[in-house]
Amino acid sequence: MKISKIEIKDFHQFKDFNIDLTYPKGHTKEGQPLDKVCFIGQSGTGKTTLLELISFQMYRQITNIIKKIDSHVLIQNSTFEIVLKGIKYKLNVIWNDGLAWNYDLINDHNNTEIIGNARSILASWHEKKINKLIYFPSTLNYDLNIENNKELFISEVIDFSQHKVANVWNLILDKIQKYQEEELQIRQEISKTVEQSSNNLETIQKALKKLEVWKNTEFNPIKDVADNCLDKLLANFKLKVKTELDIKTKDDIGFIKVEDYNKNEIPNGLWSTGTKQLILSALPLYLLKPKNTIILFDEPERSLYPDLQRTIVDYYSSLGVDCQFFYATHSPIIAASFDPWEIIELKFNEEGKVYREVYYEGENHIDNYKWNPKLMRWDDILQKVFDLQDDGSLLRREKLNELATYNVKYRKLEKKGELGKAEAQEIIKKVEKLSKELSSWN
Amino acid sequence: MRKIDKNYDALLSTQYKTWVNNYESKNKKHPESRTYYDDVAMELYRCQLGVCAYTERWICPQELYDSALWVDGKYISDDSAEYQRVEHSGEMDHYDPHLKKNQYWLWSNLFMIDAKINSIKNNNQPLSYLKPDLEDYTPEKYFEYDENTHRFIPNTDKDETTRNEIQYMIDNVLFLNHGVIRGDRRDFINDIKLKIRNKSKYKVDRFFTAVSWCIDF
Repeated sequence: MKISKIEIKDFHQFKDFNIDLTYPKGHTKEGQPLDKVCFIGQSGTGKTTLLELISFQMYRQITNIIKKIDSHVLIQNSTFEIVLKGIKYKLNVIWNDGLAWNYDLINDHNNTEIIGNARSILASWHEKKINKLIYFPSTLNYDLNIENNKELFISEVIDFSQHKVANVWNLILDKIQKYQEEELQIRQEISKTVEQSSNNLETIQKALKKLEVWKNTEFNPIKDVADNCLDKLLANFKLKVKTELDIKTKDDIGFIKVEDYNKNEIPNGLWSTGTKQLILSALPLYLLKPKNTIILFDEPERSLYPDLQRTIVDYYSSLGVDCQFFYATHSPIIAASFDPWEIIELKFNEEGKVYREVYYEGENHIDNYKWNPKLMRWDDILQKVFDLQDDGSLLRREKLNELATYNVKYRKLEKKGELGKAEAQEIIKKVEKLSKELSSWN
Repeated sequence: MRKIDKNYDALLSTQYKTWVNNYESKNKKHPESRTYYDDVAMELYRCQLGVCAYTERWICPQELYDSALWVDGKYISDDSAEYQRVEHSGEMDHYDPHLKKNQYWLWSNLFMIDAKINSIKNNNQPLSYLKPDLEDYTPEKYFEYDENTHRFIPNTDKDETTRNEIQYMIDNVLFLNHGVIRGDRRDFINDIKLKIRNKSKYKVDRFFTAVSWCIDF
């Protein structure tokens, strides 16, 4: 189930707020819901409110903001258009001695067969026991002590603003333990063989070979996480997942272990916040293997250096199948992972109400977009998308004004045929000095 | 910042004109109702050719201020039209913010400007001699343009005090060198130059002043 439109009639800073979340004309997926959406905008424009509204309106999840505000007013003012298996519905939440979620088929079908089919598709979706929404708030719970809570991960909504992310490790604890036990058993067999047939090299080699074959063929859950999920990310910190563990019981396993390139284990307490942020964002998606899920990320850039920020959106997308991702961010680098039609820039109008600034001129067609963050330089994104007034500090602006003035003066002398004058030579020296100081001024 | 002809006698919004004249003639405070907002906004766009009065950035499609949209002296929005009346990115600016209190709808004090600029301009008042509809105003008189950095600067023939006050206007009130605006202007001028070189068709519908100072047509 994906969202194709959000409307909020009147709620605080939102007034007649209407955002279309479908691909524009000319796109191969024209009219279909966007696979990923990025909310940007000044603090207070309502990016997090929109994320949390999605979780409540879609799956009744009461998140932090919803708890604090008059959520009845918000949801009764909000309408979503959603698409499930190609069928469009309008979703309203109605207050009538209690909240009721109401789905209306869009397109005004009179055909009873179509209506019946649409209803049964909707009913079967609601019955499905899968993760339908995952929420990563801006402040993830970094506590790495895991609690035995497997129930959470079979629920419809996983809200990490209310649950420890590290508990996701429960999903593979049994597999890790089983793997460790089997390995221990084979190693015990080898010891026994060595003890009993110490003179028979061939028998010992055969026993060792068995361990080697087992290791090559048996699924190793920790190595899987290392190879297919975390090691490529941890490489940025010169770290990797520790795959050789000395474990006696399940309780020894604890949370994932990390080591440096010299095989020195880094205790969990010494992990940087960036390391925690990265592991605790990527690992749940990798282990939960979301499918047809709405995934909400608030400020995913937290504590991450720019080189990592540029990779995470595509990486998270690769971990889900047919999911719809919503991001709220202040990072131009995160925004650069999106096509312009996937960016919802929220702005205040004259009356302090929020509207979406569109990036196209004329018809909403892929060819009419003024710019594409994926093709732009970082400084261009900061200026054009994030509306930064200057391309540097105030001092830089003063120097640029100075440089522009000398350029104009020089051109005037050139027009008068006075370049031979000392004044022109003086200007050239100043222009050269300023150009050097300013670097990349054009 | 091009010169703008805001000929009051030629207004199509005659109903607005009668309405505002009534308050002016009686020296009465203008109401704050927005009854004539669209009339005034679209009329201003006609005078400004759809660009921001200060930065000359394109902010309104021509279809929205076509003269055919005025019927019996009133601007009529067509709900079935391709462009809806709200589909412009400008906001109304009161050149002299002090007049806002009593003469909110005074035609001569109003301009449509880029919403982006309006949000950072606040109530800062531009210098009175830079008002773009003044009879003796011309951009050449006060500004020059550096094609290398694509920045407006104060006319270098002015005395230092005047240059400093104009520079302050450029940077902090009119935002002629705002990063976004400057970038758009640079790209627009370079694109036109490229089209001229390639003998392709082009249309100058924005940044009129800088384009005319940078390109010999």
